[in-house]
Amino acid sequence: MASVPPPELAVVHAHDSDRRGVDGRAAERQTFETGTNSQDTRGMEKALWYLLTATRGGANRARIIDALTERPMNANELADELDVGYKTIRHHMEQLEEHDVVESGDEDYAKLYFLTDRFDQYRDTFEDIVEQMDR
Amino acid sequence: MAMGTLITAAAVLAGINVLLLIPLLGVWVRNYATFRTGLVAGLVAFALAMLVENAVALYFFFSMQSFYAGDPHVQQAVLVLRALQFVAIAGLSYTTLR
Repeated sequence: MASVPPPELAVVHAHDSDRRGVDGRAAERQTFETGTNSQDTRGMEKALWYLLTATRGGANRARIIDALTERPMNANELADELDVGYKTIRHHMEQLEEHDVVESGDEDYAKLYFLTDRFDQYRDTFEDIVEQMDR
Repeated sequence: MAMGTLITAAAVLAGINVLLLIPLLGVWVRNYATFRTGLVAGLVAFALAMLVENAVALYFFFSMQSFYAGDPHVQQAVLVLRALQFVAIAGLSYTTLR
């Protein structure tokens, strides 16, 4: 009988181990998240939804991404390819670059735009968004 | 009876809100036509509800002035709420239209 702890102590112990368990899982989850950059990638999903569906010119941004999937292009080529004004293209490129969807070379003149690796990881999200679009 | 200054200001803000919501609704309706996603449908519903809300507010300001005439505190509260809504819609317009 002496080795059995009084009921209230046993309860405290159970709570303690519960809490440790929860904390342990939380810590593990946090490591996992930072380890896989999932905060970054959630940011990319949100950026795509925002840039493409919630803002003016979203359809053109989707067409820019489609065009850059074929090959890297500069703003002039994109303007010709999509039949959109050069200034409009430059504006969209700034927005896409700010959200890390595209990146550009270092040239001052006719610099080429590429899709980023981070975007490529989230191509499925892009495909979901443009699924219903006439392309 | 002339409309109180506070209620006039609130009515002006409601008018500006309507003027901001019309292009927002236009952008989102067009984007919904393109993408047909639930998120954009939600944005369209949101803008529509806000548009109707501001139109109804304008109707109250002009037709039901007896609601507000008695108490300057009510008029202040109405103006503050309208002003906060203006800030919210203006911010959303900036991020949507740029």
